[in-house]
Amino acid sequence: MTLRRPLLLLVALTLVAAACGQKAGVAGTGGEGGGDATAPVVTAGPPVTAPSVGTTPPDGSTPPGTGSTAPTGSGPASTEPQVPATTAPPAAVYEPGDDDTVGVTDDEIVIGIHAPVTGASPIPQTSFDIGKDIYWQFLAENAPDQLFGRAVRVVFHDDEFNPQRAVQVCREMVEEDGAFLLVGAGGADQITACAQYADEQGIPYLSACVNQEDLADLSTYFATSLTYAEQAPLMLDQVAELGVTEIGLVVSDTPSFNDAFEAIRAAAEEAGITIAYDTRINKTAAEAEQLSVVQELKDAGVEVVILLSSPLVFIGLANQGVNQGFTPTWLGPGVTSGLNAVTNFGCPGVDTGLFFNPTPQLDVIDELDPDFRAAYEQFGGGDPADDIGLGLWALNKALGLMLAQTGEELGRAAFMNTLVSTAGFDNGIYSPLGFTADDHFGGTGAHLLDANCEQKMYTTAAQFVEVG
Amino acid sequence: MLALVRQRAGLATGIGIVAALVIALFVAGEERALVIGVYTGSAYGLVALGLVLIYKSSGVFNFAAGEFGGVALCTLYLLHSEGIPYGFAVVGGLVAAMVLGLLTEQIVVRPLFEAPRVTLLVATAGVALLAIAIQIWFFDSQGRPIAKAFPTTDRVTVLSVQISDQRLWLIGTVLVLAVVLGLFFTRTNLGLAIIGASQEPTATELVGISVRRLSTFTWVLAALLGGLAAVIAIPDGGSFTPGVMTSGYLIPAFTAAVLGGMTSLPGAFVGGVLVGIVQSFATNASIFQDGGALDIPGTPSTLLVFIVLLVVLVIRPQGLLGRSS
Repeated sequence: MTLRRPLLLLVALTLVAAACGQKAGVAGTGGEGGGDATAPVVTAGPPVTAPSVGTTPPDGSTPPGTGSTAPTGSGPASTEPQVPATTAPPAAVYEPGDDDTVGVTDDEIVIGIHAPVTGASPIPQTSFDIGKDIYWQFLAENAPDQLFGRAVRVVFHDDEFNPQRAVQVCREMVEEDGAFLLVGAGGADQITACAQYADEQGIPYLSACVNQEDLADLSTYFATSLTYAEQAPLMLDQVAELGVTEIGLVVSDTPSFNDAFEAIRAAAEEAGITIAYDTRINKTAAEAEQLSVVQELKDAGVEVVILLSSPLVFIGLANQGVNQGFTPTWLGPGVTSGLNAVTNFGCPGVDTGLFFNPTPQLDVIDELDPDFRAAYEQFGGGDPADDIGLGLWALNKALGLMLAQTGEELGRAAFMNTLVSTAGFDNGIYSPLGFTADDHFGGTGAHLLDANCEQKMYTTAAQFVEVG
Repeated sequence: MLALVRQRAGLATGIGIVAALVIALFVAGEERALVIGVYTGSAYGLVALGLVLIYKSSGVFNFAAGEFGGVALCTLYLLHSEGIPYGFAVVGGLVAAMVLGLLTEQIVVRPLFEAPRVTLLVATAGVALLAIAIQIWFFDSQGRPIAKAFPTTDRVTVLSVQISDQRLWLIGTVLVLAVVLGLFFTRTNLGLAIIGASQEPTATELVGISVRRLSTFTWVLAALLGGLAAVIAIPDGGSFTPGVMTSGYLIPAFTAAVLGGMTSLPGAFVGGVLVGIVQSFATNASIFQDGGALDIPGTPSTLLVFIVLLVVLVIRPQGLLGRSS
């Protein structure tokens, strides 16, 4: 026992360091996250994998790309919480406050999610309304004891692509709905604003890939995928794969994207790729601005444009490009630009879009997680499974792992201590997540999505593309 | 005579400001902003025409102007997706816009006829919000693809900017309408009656003209203009989202109308083009770019548009082509 524990600790720390601390091309990663520079050394437990609670893959095979920690999806519904018996007790990086158990009762956990349903992203409200609960319903039906008899209730609010509104709805979800933790589903400025509010209140806040600059100092913030800056090397690798040596770079003019803008420039320089034209475009660029940028890109003669903007600006640029006979590959990071809703009304302009995304598309989900479609059939009320639902499913599945790992004595401090003391969380859909006390940017890879205007949807061009 | 000279001098000042801007763009090597300004500003100009029309006739800032177009666009989309030929779907969209204009006048404007103008302004904002809500109800806040009437995208190329048939249709429409409506208000009895009703409603009633009927006519005509702007301009971009005419076009159109002079129909077009030019210039001019002398974070184009508006109003409060009262 005395030898086993340090060995386990060494292995776990090595895994975390490999996963999180050595991301090539990332400026400023690590070092300041966690909020407490004098945080004690944390004991990391083994990686937590998705428990098998549902159906088996059609061929019984192991899902690709997820390595040994991938879910196998075998067997009947489990009734036992899937917490590894060898988990070390979380170190006390976070101390419980007065509101530590708000949103948690013996039979319920309340989670608050906000997203820009209106304003900048063509996100169908109904997809959110249906998708936000499917995983939890599925879990309650198939593994009711995984969260120690608690059901999860999700409250959802539209932040209208407005940071002030985001803070307002986050406050409502905490004060009126009693949310235990908050989740940002998209929109960098809104996520930053709400994460800062959550940090002030000591509330755990999780979101998909965004900026690092304003989030690195927030002790309660945790990124559930690669940040935009961390994806810079992935994008430049893709540029090299396309055989292109000159690119354009268009990034929305918001401080939240400053780090990504610089990271992409640095990664391009490192990769020996010339940026022939770069600009910061208005966050809500008007037609004249879009056309002006397209003309400059066209003059520069670039074949690939790295783009970081809202989906509406992407669609505007892409369609202006088509009108001007300019159809480059639009390559970027982002959660919302890779949605099928974008191809639904952005085609034909967006046909050349390639986006890195935390989740793959529907074309491969049956291989990775056959429970997803089955759950939609069971709880979707007749609505077909869509990619917004997939994003929510993956997020909730990761949250489920985190909550289960925290244990029965659930509180905000215990939850965050668990995140920073567990070697990793692998839900089989995301690239495995890993946090430490010093690094809350937990993503390790992404999936590459390719727009297909013939089918009016994105397809998965590459799975589990890892940084470095 | 002195008044006439003063009036012409004012007009000359307005033209001088525009000419100075054009020369400055050529000197700065940003002459392409002129083309982009005409290309994109024509849509603002067409919405601005509707704003000016309502303002001339009733002194109201019509915040529902954009959504007259929004309703036309949704109707065009719905009819065309049901298999109705594009031309008929366009007509259907315009009829829907005119019906909304009629309903707005009958249900909202007429009961508030004697109310302060600011009350009507707020009421029209309410109409816009209601129209957007109805569109979201139908479309679930999602964007929709919308086909063009004319598919050719490179009919004319000016300074490397390809101008599509759809855009030429828009530019032609706004130019013709600006001139025709200008003549309508100065040369026809009906046009003069509308102006008279806005300035002296009691006297207009006394000479046997129904002010209320004129109001109905004006609102329906303004709705038609908003509808035209939407069904011609938006399909060129290939898609639309609910509320796009208010979120993307109303504020630039208001700016265009004020720049041109709230009472000048040709001024609305000139103002629209000016807004487009300024937006384009601010986007690409090197002084506004990273490391430039005026590297303004955020939205230099929006800021510059309002600086131009401020300068014009200081030099010429009645707008570039407007007349002082």
